[in-house]
Amino acid sequence: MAVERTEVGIWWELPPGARWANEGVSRVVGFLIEGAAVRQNHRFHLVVQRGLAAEVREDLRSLAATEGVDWQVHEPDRAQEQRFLREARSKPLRDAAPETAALALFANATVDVDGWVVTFPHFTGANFLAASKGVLMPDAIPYDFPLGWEDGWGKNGYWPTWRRQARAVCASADAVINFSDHVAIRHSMRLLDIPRDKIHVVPLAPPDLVGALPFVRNRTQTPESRALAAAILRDHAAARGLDYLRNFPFDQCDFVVGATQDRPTKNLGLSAEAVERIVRRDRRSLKLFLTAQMHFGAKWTRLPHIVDGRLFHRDVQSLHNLPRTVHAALFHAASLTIHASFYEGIIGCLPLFESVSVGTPCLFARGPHAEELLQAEPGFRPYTFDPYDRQGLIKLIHHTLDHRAEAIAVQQEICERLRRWTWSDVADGYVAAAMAGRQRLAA
Amino acid sequence: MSLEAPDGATDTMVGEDHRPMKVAILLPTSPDWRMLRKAAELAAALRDARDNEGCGVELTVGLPEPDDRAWRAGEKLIQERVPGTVVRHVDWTEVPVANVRRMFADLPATLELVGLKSVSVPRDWGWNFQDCDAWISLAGTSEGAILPLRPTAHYCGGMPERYLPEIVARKMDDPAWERQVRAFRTWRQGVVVTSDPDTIPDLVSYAGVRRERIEVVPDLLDGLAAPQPAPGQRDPHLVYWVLRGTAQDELANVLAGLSVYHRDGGTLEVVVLADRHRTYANHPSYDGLPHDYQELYLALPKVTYHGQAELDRLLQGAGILLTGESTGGEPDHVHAARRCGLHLVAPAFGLTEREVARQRVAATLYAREDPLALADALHQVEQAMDPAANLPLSGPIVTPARPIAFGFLLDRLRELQHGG
Repeated sequence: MAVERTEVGIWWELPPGARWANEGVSRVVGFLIEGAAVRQNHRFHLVVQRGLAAEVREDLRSLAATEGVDWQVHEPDRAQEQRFLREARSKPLRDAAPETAALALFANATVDVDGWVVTFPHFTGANFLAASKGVLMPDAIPYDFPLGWEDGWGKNGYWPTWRRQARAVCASADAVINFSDHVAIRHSMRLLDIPRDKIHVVPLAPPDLVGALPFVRNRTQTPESRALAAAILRDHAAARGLDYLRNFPFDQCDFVVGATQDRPTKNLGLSAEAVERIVRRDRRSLKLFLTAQMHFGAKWTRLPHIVDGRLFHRDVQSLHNLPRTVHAALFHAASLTIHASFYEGIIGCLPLFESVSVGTPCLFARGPHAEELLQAEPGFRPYTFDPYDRQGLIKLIHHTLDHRAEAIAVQQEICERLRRWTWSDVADGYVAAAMAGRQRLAA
Repeated sequence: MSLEAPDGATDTMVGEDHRPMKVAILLPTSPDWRMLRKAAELAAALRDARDNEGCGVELTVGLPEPDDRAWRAGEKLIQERVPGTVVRHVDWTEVPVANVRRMFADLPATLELVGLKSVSVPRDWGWNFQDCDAWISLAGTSEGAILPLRPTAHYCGGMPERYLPEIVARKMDDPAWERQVRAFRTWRQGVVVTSDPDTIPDLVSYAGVRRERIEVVPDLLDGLAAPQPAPGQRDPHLVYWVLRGTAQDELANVLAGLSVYHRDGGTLEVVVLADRHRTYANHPSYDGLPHDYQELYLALPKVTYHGQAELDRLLQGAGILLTGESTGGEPDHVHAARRCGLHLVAPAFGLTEREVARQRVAATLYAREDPLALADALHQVEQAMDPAANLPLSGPIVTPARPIAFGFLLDRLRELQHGG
């Protein structure tokens, strides 16, 4: 039976000339659309600057969702753009750029929605949206790790400006969406002064990569499936001209995956150091494949110093910008995944769910994100480590490699349970936040 | 097996398959005496082997040595060990990959050279070893990608560079690393031969060679003859620290241990033994040593030698052989201790532990990377020493399985020859 759909706007302030990239929060938007498409209960409307609609539509057409039914992209024409820009310039703009304020005025006039999901808290154009608003506030990590982002802390620097803008946008919103309780408490409440009752904690649904590898059965690594995944990795290495990895026997050697970009909080240096000691001191043959690019010379990360300083560049390999299938194949062919990050804005960490979804166990560092997951799923605890404890991690890697079947069985069972929280549930949660102000507006 | 020729074939064609295989052993540029010894021992092992049809081999050795005197000495060493072996002059010559298929029209279509700019060809100022049926390269990675104009097996004595990367280069942007990758690319398309089971995981995981392309053969040095008895008396309290002159010597660890041992009042005299061609100050690890270790290193008495015979003679004058080696797949130190009757003091790791047991060598092994353990090992040997005891000299380790195992290598080369 057809359900009446809620019309929900997605507010995304791409500046003029920007490109739409399918990563980070834009991926979350894609998942929301797909989740709603399953239940057929919401339709999402994306509003973008003139000239960007074609590119965004092209990307969204790759989703398991139908244009016009599950989603729609709106952009002003030239006349509308001029008209709303004149109107915006006649208003007090505060921190907003005239272009984004004008886009909001265009949206108010032409896009009929029940509420908006604002995708970042510093999107000040959202202050001009008339309907109910829920603002997504992923995290404010630089405020916990300021030395990782050394620049931009002057009085009017990037971060103080971000904080002021985020405070204003969240204050003007009817709801704030967080991925986790710990971000709600540490960042939304303490840093941005958002009242607790305005916060909607809507965890992400665990990502599932198994659909990208049709040859994987029961989410289980077998010699045959590993060989097929290794062939995908070899083809990728050849296509990208990665000479050392051409014809590399990925399926015949133990390797660990670290799947994240290198950021000041990601602690990739610990993973590299642990693997280095395992190979050179403990004489266990092991490699580390990272999806991060190496930032040689950077001060904010220890990773390049360990690789360069110890000439460990053969056993630590960077495979970055991986297509979706190759990304899944890397996880599947791996012996183990390690995520040593000090902090994530979500509950748990994405590599854990991605890795286990294709049959590879994951070890992850304890931090607020992990503790929140462990409260709900204490069965993961034996697979966690102190993010400073190199020896502890080394011991855990040895143990897990020696008892891999047991580790993946435990983690599969937990993830099976966690996967009951779907992107349809997440979409409902976001829509509820977006509509939180309807009563206020009605009054 | 029937030797009847199929229709249209001649007896000669059938017979060609069963004539002795002509195998070339190819050395890297300017090989040291250990490398020459390896070539000679490999030649000796192959000479005694038969393939599964009962055929033996005809051997030729490619010796790229620019110094004429050294070349003649190398030729003599090889021909004394395996009389009848032809030794050729060789020059490893770089050829642009862009020209390779035009220059060598018979290269297999499956040979993958994408991404390589150049390959190395063993120029012998004649057929360039294409008159041989198969090649066995001892060049390691030093000559980059060797163009397999004939089915090629690459001998790998071990991969110490995975553990001590400074063996290859001190900087990550050194061209030697690219050369290493080029070599690995061709290893992955041939066969790699090693005598050390612990090297197999390194060949797979570090060099990227598939397991099924790796052949394990018996230790080449098992065939070494017993040393000529030396004149003079053995001093059981004399410790010879035998250096290779590479990072494998792990100078810092040994010097740290010796420093503790001397401070404890240890009385064994330690003398450094080094190849004459490798000067002490030029030891690749010397510059990186802390100042006090450099001083200790310079203060130790030193003796130089050249070649196996001189080393054998020297070792018979001492009671203890000390080494810092804890990487690599060739147990030279264990063979030296056994053959010359010395007590071995060495770091404990897979190869040494296994070889000490197999060769039944008197040894005290200490924990790797632990200088106190080395000092304790020397004290222990000193206290337990019986000055009257005299360990015997020892000759080759002969087993019936040895020629059979090298026969398997010949079979593998035959398979490669037929596109296997």
